[in-house]
Amino acid sequence: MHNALNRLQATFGFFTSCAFTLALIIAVLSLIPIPASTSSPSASVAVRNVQVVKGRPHYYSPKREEYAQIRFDLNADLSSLFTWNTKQLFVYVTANYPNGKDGQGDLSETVIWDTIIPATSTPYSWQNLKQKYFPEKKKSNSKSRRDSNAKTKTTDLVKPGVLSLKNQKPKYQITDPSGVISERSNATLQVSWNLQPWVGSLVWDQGYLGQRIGKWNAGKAGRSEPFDFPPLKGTKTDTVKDKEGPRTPEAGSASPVIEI
Amino acid sequence: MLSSLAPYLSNPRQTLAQVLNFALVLSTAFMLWKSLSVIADSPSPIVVVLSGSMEPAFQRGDLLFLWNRDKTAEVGEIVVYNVKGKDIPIVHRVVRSYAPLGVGADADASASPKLLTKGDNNVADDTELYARGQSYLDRKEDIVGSVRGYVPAVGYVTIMLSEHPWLKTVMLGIMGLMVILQRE
Amino acid sequence: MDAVVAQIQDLFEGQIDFDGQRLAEQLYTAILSISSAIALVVGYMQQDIFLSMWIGLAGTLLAMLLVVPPWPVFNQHPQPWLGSKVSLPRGGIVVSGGKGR
Repeated sequence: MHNALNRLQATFGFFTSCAFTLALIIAVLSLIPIPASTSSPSASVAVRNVQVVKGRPHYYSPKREEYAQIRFDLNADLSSLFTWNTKQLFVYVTANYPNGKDGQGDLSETVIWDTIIPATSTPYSWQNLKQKYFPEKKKSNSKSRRDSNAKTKTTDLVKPGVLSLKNQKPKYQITDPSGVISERSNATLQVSWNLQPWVGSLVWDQGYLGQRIGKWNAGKAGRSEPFDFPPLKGTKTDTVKDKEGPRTPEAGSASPVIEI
Repeated sequence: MLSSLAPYLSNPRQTLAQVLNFALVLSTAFMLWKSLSVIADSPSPIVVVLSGSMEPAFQRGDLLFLWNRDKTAEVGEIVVYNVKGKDIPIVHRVVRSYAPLGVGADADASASPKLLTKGDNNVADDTELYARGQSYLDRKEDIVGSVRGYVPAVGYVTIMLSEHPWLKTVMLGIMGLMVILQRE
Repeated sequence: MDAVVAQIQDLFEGQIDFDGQRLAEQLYTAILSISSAIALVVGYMQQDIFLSMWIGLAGTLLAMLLVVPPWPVFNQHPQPWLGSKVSLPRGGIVVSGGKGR
């Protein structure tokens, strides 16, 4: 403590201890949880249309596999998960189907759609203050149009976590390592979420912590009715190219941009 | 040169004590790292995010804490894996998990689910990143651990130092200045 | 040249006396603990975690400003050092010995 440098080091050391303790307290408060959430998340998902077509993984791949496109409806209210310690919520819809014949066997799970819902900017957040004190220069017209398109994709900023999708086109067309996904039965769609906090541990909807802070509402646990994959669309002669290669637009379908 | 060594050689016991002290600090740090490896059951229990492929969840420079004691990697988990033959760990999310084939008597007990990963900020999944001929990951062979928690921004210093080498000279300059200005 | 370097070294060292050191330590412990507590409570009330961060950082800055530079308040009780050999009484200082001396 004799010279200034020593005092600087001592102060900084104590600051890190304080910051660490503060972060620990905030993390534990989020998991207990305090404040207790008044509502719990609820979701319902239903299958609208399933199509199975033959395609190839890349435009240059000689492999031809079957791809399934599952259009769905999704209504979810996950707003109770957004606390002061929430950084973002990753919501994803998986198609789960048993791997064996006749609807038996272990479950294979594939994500068909996902989205990231960032937490709203609070008055003192990094983004808000940056806007206030260092406002962004006006970008060129074309860029701002693209940005405003991007902004309309996210959910309502006043109440984050409310999703309402109708006949949503999936982000990913799924296949099976065996190459065959047609005529599989007993498949379901399941909505899941992954909450990422500012400080603390990540929480998934399944698992001990998820049950503590975000138990699904009874009857609205985000699972669809069982459905079967239809047989291969024999009449479709063109190949459906997966997203990795250059895409020829199919008649009547838009480019891979999600409309919410 | 020898004259500057004289104070150290004249009192060998003190010098050795200082060397021992230094070695103690180093070995304690090494022990802490290795015990963390054992507790988490992972060869590298703490990693730094290098790319922006998981934004906005993880920015470059974030420190990640891994846990490797789960037998399965569920869809939606964020895992760190090494591509076969390469040493760079990649942090991405598991998007697909295919159960091994066979039911009942047919079942291959040693088979584990095939996993496919994808970065949140990437459009395509990681098929292109895997080793030649490998289309899926295996939980036991490829995955180093599952991300359970993180500390933001602390690792950014290492990234900044490697990307802006002039910062190293600035740091050395500051250290030199401190040596001149300090009394001890 | 050496005198200039010595002056800069003095400035850089920022010496304070022992009472001052104790005061400095109490000061930064108190300021940091109180500002962390305030940060937690205010952030929780406003449901804004960034507010906690800014309050915490402000408290740290305040603590550093108050403690690192050698303010005069830290030098109120300078240590009374004995002078050099020249100013000692002739014959040296006699220390009353115990048994065996």
